[in-house]
Amino acid sequence: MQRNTWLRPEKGNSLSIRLLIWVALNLGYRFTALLRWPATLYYAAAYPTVRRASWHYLTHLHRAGKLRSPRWTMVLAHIHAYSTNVLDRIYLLSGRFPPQNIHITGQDLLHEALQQKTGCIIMGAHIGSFDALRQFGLNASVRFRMLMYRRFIGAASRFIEALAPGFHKDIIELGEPHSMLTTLKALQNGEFIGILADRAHDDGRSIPINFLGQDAPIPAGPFHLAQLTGAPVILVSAIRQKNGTYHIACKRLADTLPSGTEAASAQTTLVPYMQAYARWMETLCQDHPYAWFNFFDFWEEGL
Amino acid sequence: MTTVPSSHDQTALERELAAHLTEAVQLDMDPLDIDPNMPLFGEGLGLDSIDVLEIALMVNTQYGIKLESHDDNNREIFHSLRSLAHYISTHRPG
Repeated sequence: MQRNTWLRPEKGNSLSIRLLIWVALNLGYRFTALLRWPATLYYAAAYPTVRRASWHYLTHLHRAGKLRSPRWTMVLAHIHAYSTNVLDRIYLLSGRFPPQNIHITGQDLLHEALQQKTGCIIMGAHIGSFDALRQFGLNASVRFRMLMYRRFIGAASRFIEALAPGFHKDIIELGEPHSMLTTLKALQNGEFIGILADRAHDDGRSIPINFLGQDAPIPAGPFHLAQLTGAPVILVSAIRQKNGTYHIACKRLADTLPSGTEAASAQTTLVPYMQAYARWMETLCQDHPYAWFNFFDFWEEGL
Repeated sequence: MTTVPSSHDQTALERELAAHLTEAVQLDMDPLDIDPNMPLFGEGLGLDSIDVLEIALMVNTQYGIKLESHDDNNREIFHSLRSLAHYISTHRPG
C-alpha cells in the first residue's frame, strides 16, 4: 500500500493554476472568490485521499473533545477554507493584499529578539497562512528567511511563488549538506528563520508526539536546530479571520533549548518542547478547525 | 618489507576525527569502520545537514577551525572523512 504522506508531488495542474492567477489578478477578488465552491466540489470529488484526510483530522479533533461530531459538509468547509488560502496567497505574494488587513499581537517578542541580535527561529505550522507572516516580515528591519524542503513543490506553488519578486532569495533549501550551516550563519547575523515544523520528511529525525489524542511523527530537526544554535524559538500563527483579515499571533516556546546531558540524550531533551509545540497546534485547531492544511495521512494510520 | 597502507585505511588524524564524528552525530558504528572515502552526506554514511552542523561545531571545538557557510568548498570539505581531515590538517591554527 502506498503511504499517503506529504512527500509526493502536490496536486493541481499548471494550466488551471495559471488561469486562476490570471482571473485573480485581472477580474478581482470578489469574482475569483466565486470560483472557490466549484473548485472545492471538484477537489472533494476528484481526490478521495484529500477527503479522507480531512475526515480523519476532523474525527481526531472531535475525539479530543475540541469539535462537534464531524459531518461531510464540514469536509467541504475544510477544503473550501483551503481554496480561500490559495486565493489569498495569490494576493499576498503579488503584493496586492492590503497591509492594513494584517494585524499582529505579541510582536514585543520579535522586537526583543531583534534588540538582542540573537537571531530567532520563527516556528509555524501548516495552519493558516505563512505568506501573511512573510508579508509582515518583509517590512521588518531584519532579514527574514524561510527554511523549506522543496523537492515536492508542485506546479501550483511554483506559479504562485513566481508572483513574489525575490521569493527564492529568501529561502534556504533543506536537504543540502550546507543547509544548516547557512542557517547558523543567518542566525548569528541576527536574522529571523521561519520553519513550518509539523511535517516530517525524514523518519530518522521524527519523534512520535501525541497530537489530538494520538501519536503523530513530528520532525525533531527544527528543535534540534534550535538546540544547536541556541537561538530563541517563537511560535507564530497567521490565521484568516471571518472578515478576510489576517491575525498574526506570537508565543514564546523557549529562549534556548537545553543541550542533552549524560543522563538524557539530546533527543530526549527535545520531547517536552515538541509536545508543547503539538499543544499549541491543538489550540489553533480547536479555535480554527478549518485552518489545518495538512491534507495527508498525518498520523500515518492509513487513509 | 613494509606494507603499503591501503587507501581504505584511516590515517592517525582520520582515526581521531572519526571518533569525534561518531560521538557528535551519535552514529551507531565503530569509528574504525568508517571508510575514509565514503560520502558522509546522503548515501554512504547517511548524514543530513543537521549532522553537518554538528560536525562543524565539533570541528570548531576540537580543532579551533571555523567552517563558514558561504564557503563554496563546503560540499568538498564535508564530502568524506578524508576530505574533512585534509581540510583540518591544512587549516589548523599554529
